[in-house]
Amino acid sequence: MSANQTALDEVQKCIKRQKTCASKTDAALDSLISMVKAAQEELERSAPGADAEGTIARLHKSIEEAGLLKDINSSTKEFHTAISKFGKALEKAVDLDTDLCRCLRPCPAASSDPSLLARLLAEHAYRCGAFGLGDTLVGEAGLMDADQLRAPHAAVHEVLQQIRARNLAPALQWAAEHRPQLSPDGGPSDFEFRLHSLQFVHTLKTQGRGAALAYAKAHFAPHAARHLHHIQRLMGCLIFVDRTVSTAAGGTASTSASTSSAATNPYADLLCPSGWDAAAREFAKQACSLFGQASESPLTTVVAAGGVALPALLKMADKMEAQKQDLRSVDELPVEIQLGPSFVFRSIFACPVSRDMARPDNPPTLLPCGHVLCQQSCALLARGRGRGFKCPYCPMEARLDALRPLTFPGLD
Amino acid sequence: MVELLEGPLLRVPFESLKRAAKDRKALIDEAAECVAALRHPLNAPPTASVPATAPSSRSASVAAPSPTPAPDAAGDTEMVDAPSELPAPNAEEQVPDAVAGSSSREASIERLRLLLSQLQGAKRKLKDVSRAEADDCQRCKARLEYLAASPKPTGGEPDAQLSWTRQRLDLLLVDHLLRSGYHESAARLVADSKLAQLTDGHIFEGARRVVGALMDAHDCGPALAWCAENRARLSKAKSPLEFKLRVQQFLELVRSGDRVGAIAHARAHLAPWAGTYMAELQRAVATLVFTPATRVPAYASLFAEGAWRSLADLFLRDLYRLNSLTPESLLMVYLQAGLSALKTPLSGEAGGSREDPLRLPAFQRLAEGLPYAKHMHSKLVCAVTKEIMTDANPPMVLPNGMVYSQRGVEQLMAQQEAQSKAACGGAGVAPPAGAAPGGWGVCPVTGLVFKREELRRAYVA
Repeated sequence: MSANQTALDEVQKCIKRQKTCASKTDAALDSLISMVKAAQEELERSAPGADAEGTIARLHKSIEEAGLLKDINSSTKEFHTAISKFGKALEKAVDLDTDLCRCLRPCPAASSDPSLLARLLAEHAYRCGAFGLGDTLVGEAGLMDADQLRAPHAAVHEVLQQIRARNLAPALQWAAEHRPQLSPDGGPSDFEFRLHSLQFVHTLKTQGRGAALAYAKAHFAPHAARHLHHIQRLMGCLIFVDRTVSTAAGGTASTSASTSSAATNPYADLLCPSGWDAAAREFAKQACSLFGQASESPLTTVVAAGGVALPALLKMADKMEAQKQDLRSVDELPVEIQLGPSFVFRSIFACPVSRDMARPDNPPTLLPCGHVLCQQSCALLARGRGRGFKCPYCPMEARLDALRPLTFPGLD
Repeated sequence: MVELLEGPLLRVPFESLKRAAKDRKALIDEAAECVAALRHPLNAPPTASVPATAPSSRSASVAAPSPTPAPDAAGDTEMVDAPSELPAPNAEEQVPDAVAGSSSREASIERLRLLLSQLQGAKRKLKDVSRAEADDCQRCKARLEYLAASPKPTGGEPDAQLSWTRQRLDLLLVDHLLRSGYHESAARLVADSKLAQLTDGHIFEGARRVVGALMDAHDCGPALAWCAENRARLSKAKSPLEFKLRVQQFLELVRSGDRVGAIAHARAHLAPWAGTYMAELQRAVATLVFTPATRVPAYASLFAEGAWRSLADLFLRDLYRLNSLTPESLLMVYLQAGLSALKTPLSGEAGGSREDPLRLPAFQRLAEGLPYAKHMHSKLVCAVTKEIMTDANPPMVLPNGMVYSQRGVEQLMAQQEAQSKAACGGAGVAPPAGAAPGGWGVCPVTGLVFKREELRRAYVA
């Protein structure tokens, strides 16, 4: 059982104990209160000079005998035990004590200009289609350029919502309007074809074979040159569409039924409804790239990178602190953090000899043997050996005048 | 496995739960002490010190605070002291007379009335505590369930991290919005994404009023009330907040020209802090001489407008500390970590992908002062396919030094083949001499025509 599950079980017990404890305490206090009330009334009724001390002593005795306070104390104790058990389980599931802010540096830009972050957040909200949130934030933060932030995303969002509502017409219209940008030769783009395929499958499912065939005749012809194979597969769907429908209707989502239908229906990938999400995502991506924007909200990208980097950074901070150094004062992180391929945004060449990043004044160069080193590393290797030197990775000799500087072309 | 980054998410409700349970214990102990005091006969400690036996003094003792410890007073000490004081008044009680008897009845009724109100008070306070406990339990549960439902991806698919972040980001945003004082926006996001149990808006409800009063109305009242509510914990943490608020009030009195009022205020509210903050206290009081118009920097700075912002910040710092919130917004922590991991000396220069957040000026400004990422290993991205080059898809060098991936050059050559087929020798680039169909391509950056035989594989360690 995972540590998280153990903690969940313990918190359930906590909830139960808390309820018991609260209701027991409440009930005990109620009876206490009524006992005191009764004694008070008794005294009020009694004649002056009666044994008041005796009444109070009797009250105390009967409270003791009823064991009310003991009840309260024991249920409270049980509740406290449950909390401390939960605490122990929680410590095994999450690190409660770690200080995540220990490698944070002061941020002059954000503190001198609070609207900097507010603007980023508002733009993120608009990008994600949360226009209500974006508008509220723009108002609260007093941002002046709200329209500039909002406008580019409004049109895109309109189309996206239509896609989610299973209406591809606006997306198809957009794809047709932007053919010159979307495809290399200005003809119908791949994206447009994928939208048509989705519409075809949708028509097939909702209106039957006749309508689907008519749709195919009307729209697939311009795409035949590039997507013939795919169109053939789509036609195959015409025959196989019933198979998924029948299994979906018959076997109610049991895993064995769905796997067997996937096994028997070669077109299951075309017929599954995840195509809509994919279309929405692809549309957002295409639209953003036409605006010259990233397909993912940059805020999400940075925070995602932060999620990967943070554990490594915290570890670095601890190691450096043990050596009386401070991570917050370095110009370059001491260790490489592997973020993964989604976070590589340009070609980075690190010279295997000097471990320096290549820069325009120190480009990577190709040796005759095919190995690549930085220019400065080659110069260092060649020093004292005339103009020739041995490649550090193979026996081949290289000469400084036979090196070829390399360029990794930019991405946009 | 211990989850490293989720501490704050659970620490907040769990610490709050522990505090509430502690309050419960204290309330119950108090009530128990009140009840236990019944054991001792009426003795009226206040009269114990007065040797008089006259009925008049007896009735005075009834009017005075009762022998049972008041709930807010330090009950323990009184209980310890009580028995030792008992014998003397007890001896006096031994003499029964009519007047004493009737006043003893009155006193006992009064005593029970007090006990009753104490018990009812305890009951009422316990109800609040109970609600807080139940809420915190539910928050713990909801957050654990949330973590169980969306476990952090460990490697695996390249986009797993992004899609995990997409839903996780909202929690960071709510926290940041609350801290920045954008309460409407925070509430909106909480409502839209159903995050009530996962975020700590309830902590900021009172804080909003306090900060508003400080910043807009220049009023220390709500902040001082908050200090009074949390006095024990604030003084344990050695917080200077209350002192600073009192100083600010003093300065406002000086600013308005009310020196008599200022002196009275200083006697009442600044003097008690003399032991801890003597230097600051003296500096503040010196403004009685150095009026707001002073040009002596040490005193002029006291009257600066920024004082209110710093008071609000000080209050927020204590609020975070008392509620186990992180001192800074976690969004900033994640942003800085991400920015340093992405930042290179080339960030923002030409040649990067449009997906790079550091192409945007706003992110460049946030990244100012952050360290660069270290790159020990090369990461080469093909400009044609946008894929990362690997041993399976190695870098290929064109005769002019341009590098694309293997798949990239294949794609360039296939493109030429398709185009020359479609154009049938008319338009388009002419094939180089001796090149087989599909055996040549055009570099999209430099326009260089290259043949398959001219390509060279590069080995990048």
